[in-house]
Amino acid sequence: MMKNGKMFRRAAAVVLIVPLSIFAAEQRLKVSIQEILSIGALDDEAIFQWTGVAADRDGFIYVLDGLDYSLKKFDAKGKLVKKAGRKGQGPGEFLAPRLLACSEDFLYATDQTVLGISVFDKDLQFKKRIPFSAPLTDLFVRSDETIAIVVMGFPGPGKIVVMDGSGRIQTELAYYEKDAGPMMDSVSAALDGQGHFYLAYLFQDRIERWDQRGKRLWSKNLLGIKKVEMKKIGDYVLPTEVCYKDISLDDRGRLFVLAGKHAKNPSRDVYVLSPSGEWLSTLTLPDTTHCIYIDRQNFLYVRANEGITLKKYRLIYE
Amino acid sequence: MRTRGAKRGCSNRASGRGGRAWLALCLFCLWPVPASLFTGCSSPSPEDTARLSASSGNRTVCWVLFDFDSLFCSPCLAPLLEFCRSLPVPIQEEKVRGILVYGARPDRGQDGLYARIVQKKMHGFAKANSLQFPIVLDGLHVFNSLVKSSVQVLLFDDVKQTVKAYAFPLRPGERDEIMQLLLN
Repeated sequence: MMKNGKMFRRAAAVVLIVPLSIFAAEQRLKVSIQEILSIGALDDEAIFQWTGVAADRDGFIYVLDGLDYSLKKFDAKGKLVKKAGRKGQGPGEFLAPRLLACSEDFLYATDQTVLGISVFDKDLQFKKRIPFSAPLTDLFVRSDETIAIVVMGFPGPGKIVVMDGSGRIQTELAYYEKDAGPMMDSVSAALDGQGHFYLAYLFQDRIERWDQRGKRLWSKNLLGIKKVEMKKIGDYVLPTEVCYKDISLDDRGRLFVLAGKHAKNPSRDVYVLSPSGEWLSTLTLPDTTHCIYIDRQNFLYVRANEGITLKKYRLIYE
Repeated sequence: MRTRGAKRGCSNRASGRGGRAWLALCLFCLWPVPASLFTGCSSPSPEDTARLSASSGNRTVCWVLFDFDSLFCSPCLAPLLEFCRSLPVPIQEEKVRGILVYGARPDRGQDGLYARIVQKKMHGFAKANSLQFPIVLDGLHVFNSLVKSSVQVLLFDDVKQTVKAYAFPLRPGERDEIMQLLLN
């Protein structure tokens, strides 16, 4: 009897949760992809483990490689044009290269173990390091005078900081003030043309839009996750299952969200949302990826073969 | 070793005025002389010792176990890499073998493909870190439990006929012990 009661409550919970999640909803837009370019194969030395990617208006693709500590430049056909960097903590060197962004003239790269942002020109010459005293979890560059970073919320709360090219802070957005535990406020972020921030929480079922003044415009949960799995690691109890891995915006301001562990196809499903947060479609990638990046020409870049391959796709909307 | 042309040239000069001096100069230039005679250093360099040791009868060898997951963690591997780089190149080439240990990935389906991906990544890592010894893949996953127990170096002591296991960071004296066994 007790068992039946429990089962009924579970069934009721499922009935309540499922309509809220995207799995049962109908697609309002069909998004598909067409492969344009593939860089890196098993038998070449082009890429060993790419971590960050950026593309400029001329079609050049820039890649940070975490296994040979380098920044690489490929032409539009995928030919390696130049490679810079080596292992170290000096100017232009890397220990664990991670995030990459580009403006009209410069490239901005971060290192997981070295604080600050390294700036290179398009010829991969190191120019300067913008100082910053905390680790970053995301980076996006609108211009050389508007560089937005997501500061890792550990142990304090995470925040988004907008600074100029010299590291002078212009605005700060404290998007998550409640102390919900370490790393619970880790986000991937994107910035649209109107200055709105989109946040996808790594360890919570939350996608949000904020304005520049720090006002939350909307908040969505697509997965129906109520409880976050936690594990004691050392002195801390930390979340272990990633809800959303990355977000990026297309040329019409639609939001692409890469889903994590709870998705039907983990690290392959990409949810497409309208600027107002409506779910429009789910795109399933052929291979798992750790990040998604959409360039200014609306091409999508993702990982394949565990990071030794970079794929460039054209986005097709129907 | 003198060349035939050089010898002929020296003979011609030696017949004239100051011939001895020319002969001495020619001999000085052409005869192989140990570099240590001029540098004032009579003891062989570590590289020379290593080369001699590598080609001698000492068959002590060292296996270095790399955990694939730790390749992406610079601080985790720093002590092991520092140790590897401190070994003279001839010793690395002759007496050290790397073994890349990785977990099977059933979700990848074809283990062969995943193994090739792992191998390529290790190649990039080894090149960027100037590792001079060959590194093979533990395709049967026989070393996984050793790596889980933090063992990173196995030393096959040819003199005592024993196997020694070391974890990193090494304890005081262990580095010298390994070096001595490999070099002697």
